[in-house]
Amino acid sequence: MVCFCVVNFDLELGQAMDSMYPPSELGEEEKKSVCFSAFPDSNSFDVGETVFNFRIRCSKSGLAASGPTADAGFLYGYVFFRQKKDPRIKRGYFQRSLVLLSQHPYVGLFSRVVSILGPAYFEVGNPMLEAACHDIASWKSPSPSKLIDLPFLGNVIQVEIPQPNKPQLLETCPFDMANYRPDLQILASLPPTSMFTHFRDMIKDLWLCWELMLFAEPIVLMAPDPKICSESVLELMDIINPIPYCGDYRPYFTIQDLDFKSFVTKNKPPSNVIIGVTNPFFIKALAHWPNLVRVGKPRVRKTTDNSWRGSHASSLDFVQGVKSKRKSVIAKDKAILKRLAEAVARGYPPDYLLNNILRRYFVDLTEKFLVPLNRYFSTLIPFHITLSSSQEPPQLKPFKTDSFLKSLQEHGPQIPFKTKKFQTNTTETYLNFYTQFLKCGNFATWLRQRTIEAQNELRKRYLQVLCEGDVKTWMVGKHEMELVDLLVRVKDELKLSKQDSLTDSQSLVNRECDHVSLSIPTPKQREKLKAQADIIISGLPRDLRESFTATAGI
Amino acid sequence: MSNPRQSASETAPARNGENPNLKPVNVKLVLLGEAAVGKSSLVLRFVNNDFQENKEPTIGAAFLTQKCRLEDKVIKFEIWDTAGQERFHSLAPMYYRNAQAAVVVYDVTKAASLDKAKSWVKELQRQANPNIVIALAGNKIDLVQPAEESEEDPAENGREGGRQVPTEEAKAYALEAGLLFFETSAKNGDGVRDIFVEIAKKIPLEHIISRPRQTSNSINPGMGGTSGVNNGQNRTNNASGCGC
Repeated sequence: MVCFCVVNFDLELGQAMDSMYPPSELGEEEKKSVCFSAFPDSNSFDVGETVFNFRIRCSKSGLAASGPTADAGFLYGYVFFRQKKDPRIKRGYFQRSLVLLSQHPYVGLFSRVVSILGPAYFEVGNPMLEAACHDIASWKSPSPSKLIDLPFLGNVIQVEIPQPNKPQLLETCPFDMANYRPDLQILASLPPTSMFTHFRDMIKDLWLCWELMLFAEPIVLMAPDPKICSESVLELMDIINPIPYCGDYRPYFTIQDLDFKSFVTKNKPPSNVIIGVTNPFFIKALAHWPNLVRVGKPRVRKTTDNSWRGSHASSLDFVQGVKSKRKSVIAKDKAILKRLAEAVARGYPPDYLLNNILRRYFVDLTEKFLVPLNRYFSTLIPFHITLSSSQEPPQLKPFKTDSFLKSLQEHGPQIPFKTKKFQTNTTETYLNFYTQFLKCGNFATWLRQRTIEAQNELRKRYLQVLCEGDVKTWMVGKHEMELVDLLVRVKDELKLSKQDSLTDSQSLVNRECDHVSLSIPTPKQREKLKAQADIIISGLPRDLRESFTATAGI
Repeated sequence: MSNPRQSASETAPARNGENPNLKPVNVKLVLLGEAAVGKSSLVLRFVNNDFQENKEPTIGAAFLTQKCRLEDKVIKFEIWDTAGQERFHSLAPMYYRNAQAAVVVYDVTKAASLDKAKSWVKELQRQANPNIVIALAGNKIDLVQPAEESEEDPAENGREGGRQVPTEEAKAYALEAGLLFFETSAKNGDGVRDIFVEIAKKIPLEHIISRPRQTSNSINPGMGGTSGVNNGQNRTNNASGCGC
């Protein structure tokens, strides 16, 4: 976490940063970004409270994470906004936001944090912020897929931190489902209000949304308020999990954003981006973007007179649904639509369970989509690794589009494509579908990630062969150059593990998170490698043996 | 998908490799009291069996946990050790909300700290969970113990003018207000464990286990029933299996 910011809306000054706690070195531009992103930017909101999130570019102050990850250069803001009548204030309204800034996209966790802290802070004031920061400072640094207990202002929040590119589902979480409490048992990557809830009137459109997200097409998501807007954007990104979304995303984008000028142009829209907006201005300004998703019913204004009908007029201009240049080719699943519709009619199970069913469906769909890609990819991994298999640790074969498409045609796809009466060639449909995917950014990120995983796996196997291989038998009849070569490779590994033992445990944790780096021999493997080296040395001619034992200080 | 209506005994994993019947029951406990009466020190003694002179003041609240075994149950105390300083007073409701137990601490060498303790008790009885078990703890008795009984440096004893709150007075108040009562020394450990053990015995555990409401039919049979709560016969002065 970076800090909490308190932002006030003043009639004369507009949005202004009241305070930051703990004091933080945000640049002026970044402060401005935070301020503007911290308030609803249209009149949709009347009196009450809301929680939403945003993602802003924050490269100057050095507060954002750096590195090759999607989080680098960005900060995530989690907002608790309160608006209430207050006759003591000139404008007649109290309008303030409490913003938590963090480098981490844990929307479930931090939305909960601000919704606990926000109301308490506005009642009590600064000691509450002090206590909250003190609690957060005592939290352990996040480690993926572990259940952690986080004490916060009298609550114990249980959180599961997601593994990179693994969807978080109730089936795989460590919570006791018999006593599940969605308010305190949190899957960190999921917004507090479920996708099922936000998209409930347009579930059928999710199949098209899935295609748009799969190809990382430019999308404008329009919603009546920042909560629906920001959460829906994140939910659409999650819909293609476990494929990592390659693009830029702005859950809540306002006309004052620093990047406004680069997004809002007459030019062809950038590819690989999804922006969530609430200001109707964007509909016109971005009319040339190919995909517009409208989510959510405008909130009916709370008035004392329930028969007041003014709000209905405005809800009529807001039609939920997807306007897209893309023609969807994936067939909807009627069974699941029926199942969800029946559950809604029946009134149970609760939304969070229906949401899990829906998300689970799309995880399965994405995984089925990936089956042909994974099948082909597995043919690129060298199968056998032996002591003499190569000089270097083994490498993957390159991914070739032609061979993939051939393999795809051989086995066929796993996902259901629409069948139309006049469409004779479904093969062409799915070949086009996959070809398009191979050209988009998501494929590149997927391939990169898959390659890293495979290389890690290869490396593990390679190490295992070095440690466990039957060196004695292998040595029989080998030339001494081959023996020396193997010995050098074993010694290289020993050197690596020695370097590693010097670093402290903290950097070990970092290494686990950074999946680019490769595995390093464990202490156990180190012992085995030493034994292997001794065997090889004993098989060398005397002169060579002496030169190696002399340098055996490793 | 796990069926939410399934009983806890079927789905609850036996965490920590323990017998599932011994799956700990979480009990939220809050410590309240004037600044510098020794709340954090009591917790430190209970959780780590340790003591520090001149502990720094708590900010907001500190959170610690400690398991305590009681006959056939394991209780996991989730302890919120609140800050005594006045500027944090208004935060207290966050911490005592939904608490099943409270320890209100005063300093036996400081009469005013008992008044503060009384006002905390009043606030708890008015605003906290109606079933909350409250214990009153008079701390720092090591400062008023007669020299021949104390193993501490006798020079300490005369400090701060000795006892200002007679045991009988506090005890009578506790009885009248329906509180458990203890005199303790976080410094030498006297009476500290007893607070938590007696609280554990007095808490209506069945009530806690059966939360949340919609799974009222899912009480683990091993957890309810014959717990010996409130029968008053199991009160031993030793650790009584307390896992600390």
